[in-house]
Amino acid sequence: MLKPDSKITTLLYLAGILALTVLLNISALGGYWRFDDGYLLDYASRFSPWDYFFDPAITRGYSLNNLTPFNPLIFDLNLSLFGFQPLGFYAQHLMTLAACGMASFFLLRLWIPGSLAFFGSACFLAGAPTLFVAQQLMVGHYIAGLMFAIIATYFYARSLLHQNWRPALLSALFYILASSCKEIYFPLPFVVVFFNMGGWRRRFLHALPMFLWSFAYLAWRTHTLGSLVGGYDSGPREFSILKVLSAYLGIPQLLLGGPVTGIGMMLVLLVMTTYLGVLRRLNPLLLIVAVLAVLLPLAPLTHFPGLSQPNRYLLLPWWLISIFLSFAIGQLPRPGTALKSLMLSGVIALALSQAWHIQSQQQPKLERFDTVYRFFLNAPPRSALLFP
Amino acid sequence: MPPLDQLYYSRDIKDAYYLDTVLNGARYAEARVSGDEPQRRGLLVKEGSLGRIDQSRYTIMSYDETCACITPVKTRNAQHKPTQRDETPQLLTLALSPPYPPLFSPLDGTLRVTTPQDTSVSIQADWTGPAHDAEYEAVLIAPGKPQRHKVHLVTDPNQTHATVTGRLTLNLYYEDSTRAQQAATQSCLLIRSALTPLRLLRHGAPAQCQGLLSETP
Repeated sequence: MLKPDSKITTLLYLAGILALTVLLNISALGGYWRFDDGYLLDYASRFSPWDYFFDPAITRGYSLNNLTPFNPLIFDLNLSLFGFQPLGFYAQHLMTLAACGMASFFLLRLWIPGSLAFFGSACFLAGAPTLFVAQQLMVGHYIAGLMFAIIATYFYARSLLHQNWRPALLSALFYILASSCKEIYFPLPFVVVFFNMGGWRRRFLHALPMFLWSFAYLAWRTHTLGSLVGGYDSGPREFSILKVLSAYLGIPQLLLGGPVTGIGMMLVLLVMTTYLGVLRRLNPLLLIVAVLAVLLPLAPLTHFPGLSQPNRYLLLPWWLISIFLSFAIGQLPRPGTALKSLMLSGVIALALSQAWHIQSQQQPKLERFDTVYRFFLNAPPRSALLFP
Repeated sequence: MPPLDQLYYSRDIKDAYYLDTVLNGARYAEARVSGDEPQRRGLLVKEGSLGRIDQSRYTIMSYDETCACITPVKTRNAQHKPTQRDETPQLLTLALSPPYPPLFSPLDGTLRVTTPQDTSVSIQADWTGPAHDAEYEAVLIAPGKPQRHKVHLVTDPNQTHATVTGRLTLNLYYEDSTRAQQAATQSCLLIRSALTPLRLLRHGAPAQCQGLLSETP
């Protein structure tokens, strides 16, 4: 166990994460309705929260192929809290993103010093997918799901560390929430059970409440949508493993910019992983299972709509890379924490450079949505003074 | 309520159904929240449709990237004549079984379903709509998707010339007679256009289609 930081230090880290989230995404607070928001608002203003979860017609009325009742719920709650004012929606959206950063910090803090955990969390917040989703209310369920999944992982790890089954029950509760946000969080118990903390029997027993929900989830999904797997209905397409692999190889470039930076970073990670493997400071089985759990659900998306932008599809892969990178750097026998923090700062700078580049590309599209929605709602033009 | 005499024309999006769902969805939601009567704003996505709209009643507006603002569409574009392709209604098929989500308003009109052959289904729909309308789109909700389809639409002006009678013929071809039979007994048809929202043809539709009707305005 690491020596815990003082309460003041921890609070400073958390305040830093919150400030970073707001600073990096301040322009979102000036955003209007965008993309699918109109449909979500329409849906949320028709039905009650109970309906999204327990009335199959209404659950699939929102999405025919995906079990995501949490998304209309988020809009419903925000409509109740803030009325028809997007500012409140975006504030909630950014707070959830900050909560992802904070939960990541606490999770990393179980294994690495607080300063490195902070930089790991900052790395996630500075990534292109993170800045991308910050501007899109319609993908709030990806962010909320990630937050719940990280909290579930944290409580599961704590239950093993302290050999106490109570946090394991909390992990199951947050896993239920995560999986009802988005299917991509469904594999969580099948990953965390590989945590190298305690024997297999204990790990399995502590993950049992989550596994039980996994089976219940599959039954719920089949009952509601009529199928076990989801995804986009894009008509018949020939599945090509080469296309999948080619898309996977393109992910580093989407996340970090040019091919040299992206592939270079992946090579550095590979070398570091091998070195830590040799030193027995890494759990290779957990890493392999986690990578598979994150990448396999992306396979159908490589065919349609394709992985061509660092958007919501790459949020979870980017989170995994950020967390693994900071964990791996934290496990290196040398240099000291200060130099390790500097190494992570370099990665953050690279990620941020790509994130800003992507955001400047997206800006015209966002402005268009803002303007067209304002026209449809006869809302006054955007105030350039408040949020330029 | 805000003026509705401005139609929105999006020159670079093909999916009118999506655009209608999200943009007018926001209008409906705002009206519900504020307790007003939901009213729809018309929209177009084909340049060829601009000439069909009665420009003495409507101003056609579009997004202008140069100013990032909404401006009236220039007259020369509005004179554009529709092509045969512009006139052909789009068909969107959704493979969905009951229970259905209650999302739509009813469209007064009639639906007749026949099975001219074992593996084909013919759906004929009649309704009354506004004159000078454009971009009709049909949404077919059925248990399975047809292998192929043909759509034909005729609009006849009524006596006052303020409305037209729309007559849509939809021929659906399935892999086997079982699927065709399912489609014949379980298909629901919804129609939308530039000037009208997506609505369910109620009369003559199978009983379970009523589940698509919303009590919420």
